[in-house]
Amino acid sequence: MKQSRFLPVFAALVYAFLHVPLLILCAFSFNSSKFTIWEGFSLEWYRAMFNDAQLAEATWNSLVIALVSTFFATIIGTLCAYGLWKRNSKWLSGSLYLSLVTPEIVTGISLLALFQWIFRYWQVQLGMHTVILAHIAFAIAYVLLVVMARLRTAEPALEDAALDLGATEWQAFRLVTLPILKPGIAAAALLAFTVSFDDYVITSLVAGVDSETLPMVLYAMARRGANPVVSAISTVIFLGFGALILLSERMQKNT
Amino acid sequence: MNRLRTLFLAPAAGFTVVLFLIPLSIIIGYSFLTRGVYGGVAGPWTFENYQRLFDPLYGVILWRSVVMSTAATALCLLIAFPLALFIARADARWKNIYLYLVILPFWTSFLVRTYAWMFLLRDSGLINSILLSLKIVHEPLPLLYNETAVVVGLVYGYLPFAVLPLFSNLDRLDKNLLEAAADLGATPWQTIRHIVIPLCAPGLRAAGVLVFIPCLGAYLTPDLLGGGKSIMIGNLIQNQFTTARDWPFGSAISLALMALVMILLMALLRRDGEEAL
Amino acid sequence: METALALTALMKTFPSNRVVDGISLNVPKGCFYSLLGPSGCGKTTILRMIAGFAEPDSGEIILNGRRLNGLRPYERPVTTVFQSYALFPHLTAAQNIAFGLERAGEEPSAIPAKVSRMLELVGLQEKGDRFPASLSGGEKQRTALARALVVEPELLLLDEPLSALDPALRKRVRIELKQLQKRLGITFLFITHDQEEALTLSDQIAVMNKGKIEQIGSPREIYLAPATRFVAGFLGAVNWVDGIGVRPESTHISRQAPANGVRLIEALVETSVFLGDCFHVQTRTNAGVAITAQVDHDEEQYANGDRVHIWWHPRDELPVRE
Repeated sequence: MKQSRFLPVFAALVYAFLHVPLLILCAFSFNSSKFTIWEGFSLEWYRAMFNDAQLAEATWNSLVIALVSTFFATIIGTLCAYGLWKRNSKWLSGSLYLSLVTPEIVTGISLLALFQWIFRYWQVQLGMHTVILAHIAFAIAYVLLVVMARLRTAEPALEDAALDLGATEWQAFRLVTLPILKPGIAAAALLAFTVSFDDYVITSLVAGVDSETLPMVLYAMARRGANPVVSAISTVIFLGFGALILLSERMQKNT
Repeated sequence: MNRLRTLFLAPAAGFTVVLFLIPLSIIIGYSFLTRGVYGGVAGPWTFENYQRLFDPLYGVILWRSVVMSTAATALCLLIAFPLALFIARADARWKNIYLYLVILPFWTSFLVRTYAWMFLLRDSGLINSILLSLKIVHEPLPLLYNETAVVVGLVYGYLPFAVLPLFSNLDRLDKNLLEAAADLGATPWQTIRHIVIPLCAPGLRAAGVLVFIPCLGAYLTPDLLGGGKSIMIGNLIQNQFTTARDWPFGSAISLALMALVMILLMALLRRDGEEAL
Repeated sequence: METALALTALMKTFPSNRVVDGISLNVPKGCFYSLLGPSGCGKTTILRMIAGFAEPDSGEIILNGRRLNGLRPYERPVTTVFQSYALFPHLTAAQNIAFGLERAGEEPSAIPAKVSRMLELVGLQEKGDRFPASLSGGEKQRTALARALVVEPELLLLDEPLSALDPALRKRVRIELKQLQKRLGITFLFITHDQEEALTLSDQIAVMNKGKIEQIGSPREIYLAPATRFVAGFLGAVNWVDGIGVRPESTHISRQAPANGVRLIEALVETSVFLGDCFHVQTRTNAGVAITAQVDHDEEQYANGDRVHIWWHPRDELPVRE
């Protein structure tokens, strides 16, 4: 079919629209001035970023929360996907998919309501633990999505063959299905990590006073006004996540 | 065998019930209660919160949210369709790269991407700096803190949600149909209008719903890019649970939003089945 | 002859229909036994019930005196060669074969020897380290066979294992399969819808249709003395004339009326079809009945429109009536 020039040009413009704002932000994070006029290359804002104690603590919190919730969400989500693949449970899969489309603000306030209600009877406060629980809860659905997609392309006869040759159901899962699922599980874990690390809405509602996360600090700084340190942080996050994505693609290729 | 399966499903079921279904039920309950004296909730049971939804003060916000979401969705579809078409027609070895380039920004921080637009649009932002230094304007243009900025932010944020289902639909189109159309004398534009677009209707519906729903429930984008004047439903809810301390009303709004979301989803599932994901 | 597998009155009903309707049969030890029938006749369901992937609604499955009903697949001394081979993609051919031995708790040091012996037996000595993705269709099939046989099952189930192979390969693999079975002496239960396959491979055949068994017998018996019209038609072509059935290869053509002692009918030649090793001449009698006669190369050839005599020996008539 004759291709017009329109599509490639249009596509290029769209890609520019998608990527240029971020590239500009990255570029200006190296600007020696804090105004949006280029005045020279400088790592000043990166230095400021590294010296910020509050930022360091928030980043640490974010990492801990993301790693812990990813760990649990991946395991729980994978097992759940497998169980649902064997035989579906409408209420469970329905609820999990519903949690995916529920607006974050609604999820956040409902969890806040739950925790406040629990804390009436139990001497606990909002803190890292409530954030982690919340993150595990919403990450499970993401893991389910990715692993389920993988399972749908799997051959059910493989587990039958394993059983036929003397493996129990657990062995069939462990020795046949699980190894084949590995790339999918890795991709799911990466997604869960990304979603958790980046979350603002839910976290801000259920975090305590002493469990600030990186997105929360970033948000406060962004709200306050133009701040080139935010550009520096953004660049680091952007490059960091970008590297993670590349890593995931590399892993996916080795299937 | 069933024991194993129950064991596998138990943790997820536990989390879903305790940390999703129960909180939702609590919110449903709160929506029928009254605001407590010091915040929180108290009796008596009432429908008042739902009645307040129709108050013009809040009606404006609801209406604005719907309008902005519709605008963002329409723009997303208009932009995503040609892009998806482009990718679907590309050589096999480029397809993945093109898709990857669409998804890549999405997988990095949402906050960062929203901030990027603040950086560009604010009075001291890059666009105004350029315009001012080129003497095209003498005062900074108020590009930020209005509804347009929010819509731009929404489109920027959710464009990949539109591209992926459209691409998936277009990629699966039988190339033979296109060749048959050309064979029978259709121009490329006619082929697109009469064959591609109708066949792509499920993809368009899925893309539309997948963009509209998050737009409707958006919080960060209107909060950072909209300033105080263009708040959406999400901001209203947050406001009720923090500053205004009117949890019952906030709950009622949340449920109204959920109801709208679920209606849209049911409509889509009924029409197109489970391939939406 | 000792019975290895005995199925008694097996029944399995799915919501809409009786998939397996009172199946009873005995498979002798060391026998190459085939279940032959069209798609949907229930043979796959029977296989799954013997392997343990489905339970019969009623009826018994007894293997060497032991009742298998209710046992999980991994508790049954039965293995299966699946139609899709179901080779584990993340394991090499050798590892695939070793899988069953490992599950059985075989001595780890003894496993490699057993695996190589099996690889040799199926002609895959050099391919042990290959992954299924880099094996050809025939090689995959042999790996699946090796994997199922190495654990020395009391019964091997084969679910249309040759259907994914192309015709030339299929004929070769058939012969190897038969030789392998004779050599190992393991009881094979083979299911297929291909009657040529069943006839060449089997010691005994059970012909199935719509959940029921139509006839059990040796290939010769089934082909030459079909018990029902279905069996007659499924195993090969049949000419039905006035309720009598005769196969085309026993149906002869000549210009003059032949000697006495044969059944005779007049017909008009309509067309000749060349089948490679012979001709099938299609004729029509005065009464409008179509009859196909087989004519070899060195016989007289017939042209369309020729008036001929169709004849056959009474001994070639099929015992079953239309």
